[in-house]
Amino acid sequence: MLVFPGDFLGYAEEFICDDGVYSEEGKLYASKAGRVKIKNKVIKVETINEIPKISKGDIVLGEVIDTKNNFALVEIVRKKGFNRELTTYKTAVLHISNISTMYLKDINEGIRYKDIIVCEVIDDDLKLSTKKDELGVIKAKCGICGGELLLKGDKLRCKECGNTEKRKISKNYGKGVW
Amino acid sequence: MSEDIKLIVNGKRIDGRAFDELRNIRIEAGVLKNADGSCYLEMGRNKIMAAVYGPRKVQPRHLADPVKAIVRYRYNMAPFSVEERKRPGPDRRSVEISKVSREALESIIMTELFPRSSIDIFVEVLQADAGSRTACLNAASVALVDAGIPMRGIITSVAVAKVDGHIVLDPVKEEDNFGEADIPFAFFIRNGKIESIALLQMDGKLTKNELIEAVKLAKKGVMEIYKLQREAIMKKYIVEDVE
Amino acid sequence: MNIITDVRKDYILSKIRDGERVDGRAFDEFRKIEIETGVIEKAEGSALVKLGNTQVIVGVKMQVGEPFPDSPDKGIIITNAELVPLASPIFEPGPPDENSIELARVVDRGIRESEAIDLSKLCIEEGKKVWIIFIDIHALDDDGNLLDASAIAAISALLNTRVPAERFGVGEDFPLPVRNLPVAVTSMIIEDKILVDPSKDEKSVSNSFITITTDVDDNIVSIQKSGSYLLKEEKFYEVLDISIEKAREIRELLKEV
Repeated sequence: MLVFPGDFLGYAEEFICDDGVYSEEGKLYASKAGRVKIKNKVIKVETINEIPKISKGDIVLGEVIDTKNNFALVEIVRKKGFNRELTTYKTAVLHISNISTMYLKDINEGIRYKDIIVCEVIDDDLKLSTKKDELGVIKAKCGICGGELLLKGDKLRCKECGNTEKRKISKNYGKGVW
Repeated sequence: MSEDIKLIVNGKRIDGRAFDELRNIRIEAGVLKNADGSCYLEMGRNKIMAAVYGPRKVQPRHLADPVKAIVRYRYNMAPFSVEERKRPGPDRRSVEISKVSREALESIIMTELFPRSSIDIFVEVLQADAGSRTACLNAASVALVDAGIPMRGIITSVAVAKVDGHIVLDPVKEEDNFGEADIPFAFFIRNGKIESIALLQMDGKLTKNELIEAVKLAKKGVMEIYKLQREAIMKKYIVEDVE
Repeated sequence: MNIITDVRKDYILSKIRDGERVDGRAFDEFRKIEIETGVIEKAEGSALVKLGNTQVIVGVKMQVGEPFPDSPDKGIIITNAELVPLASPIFEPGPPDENSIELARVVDRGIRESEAIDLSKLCIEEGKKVWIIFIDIHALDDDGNLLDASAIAAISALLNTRVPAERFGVGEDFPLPVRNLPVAVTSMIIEDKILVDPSKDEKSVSNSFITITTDVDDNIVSIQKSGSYLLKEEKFYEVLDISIEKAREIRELLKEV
């Protein structure tokens, strides 16, 4: 069924409201245009043009904005599959134990400040993981001179000064895809 | 000057319409690539382009509200939209229109769902011919729905004027300039029913009874416009079905 | 939002729910209005209005200038409002913001649409020279409802205005031809109750206002719904009746000016 914002959908005791539905004085109305979907008494309206919401299982693109001894803070900038900006600033936590399947002695062996990384969201409190092959750093700069780091075997090598660095590298490093 | 012009002849208006007749309206949703939602609308000779960006990060950051999204609305007239070139940029009239239009939409947008975000609505008047603020609000409403912004219903707007002693719907420029009163309205429509008044301004001279008649006429007008707003959005879904 | 104002809001709201206002007024009661005219000698007309603790001064200055092309035989009204930082901790210096623009435009509409000034008597030479009336609203103390106070001050100042014809070498001075008395009445709507002349204290609990301006014959000359809220049609008619009645009372005060 196609609906428009404000269309009456039923009564509060019949359904549980999800996205695109709101309840007022016991009545349920659509808050978006789109298709009504009902599953296990949960009612929602699916639109063509969804607003991105970050939740468990999402793949996101972000930038490392701070590193501590055993975790990094990541500013999430985009959700995979969406062309739209996120609704606000979202900072997530990447714990050292979630960076790689291998043991890291130092967080800087996995990621560094200002790296651009692809992560999976592993719980609704915005905890991240980069363990999978396609996850991890996809773009990084040299810690010494700031030059671009290029993929060289399983390490990264600076185009300018030749310095090599270690990272949890995504299999898509340097390809511009994620 | 105004005394020379006859705005009503044989029960018909200057453009041949009946008192309760709207101008032709054309609405198309999703016409811009960059915006998250957009709408092109013609109401008579008004040509309006509306775009919605967001919910997105608030710039500048200190304007962010920790409990809800802020809504911004910019009504802007293109320099070539009127007979005499309009100086670019906001004038006092545009600032006031932007304020009351924003307030109308804010009252039905579910801003509480997006703390620290902004919802930015930009409306450009490409050609103006009386009632541009109402045409802009209608376009902005459709652009908001197109952007998937949750709303309690929709805002639909129309003006009513008093012309040569008659209350008429959706005035054109001549009726606006030489009429006795102009009353822009916007209503909150939910489930196909008018719920309440979201925007109301008036200038001119009216008795209380004339004002009540104006409300009645405006309500009739917006119900017709509401159908067109709805169709413009639904068309996108029907096209999708065919594919 | 600080804790004091938060707690204060609860107090104001619970009073309103009990049918009372914090300052003891009835819901449809204005604060005390005091009008003093001629307070600025350098201005062609002026008035200081106190509405409770809200204070606003309006000065009228006049100049000779060119008419607008579409009304070559009529004088011109220009209304401006400055919400100067002296009047409230939340006013900031700088160009007028949307609130001061709205205030000025609503006051202006009341005067213009009620045809309070006979502009055809302000033509000096058709198409070339007319009188321009500058109405400048200057807030001194904002304790709520600056708008109604400004509208009262504006019409009072106009009633007090003498056209400075001698100074401009275009004849003898004469009183400004004022022929109508527009009165603006602002109400705040909260939980289905209508409070006229909201104080600053009361404005902290609601952002829902409507200003209705009427003339001597009870015609409605201007309406402005202000604030993001939804107004029920029945409520609108109720406000309309209250505004017409309150305006009549205030107009009696103006007749003494």
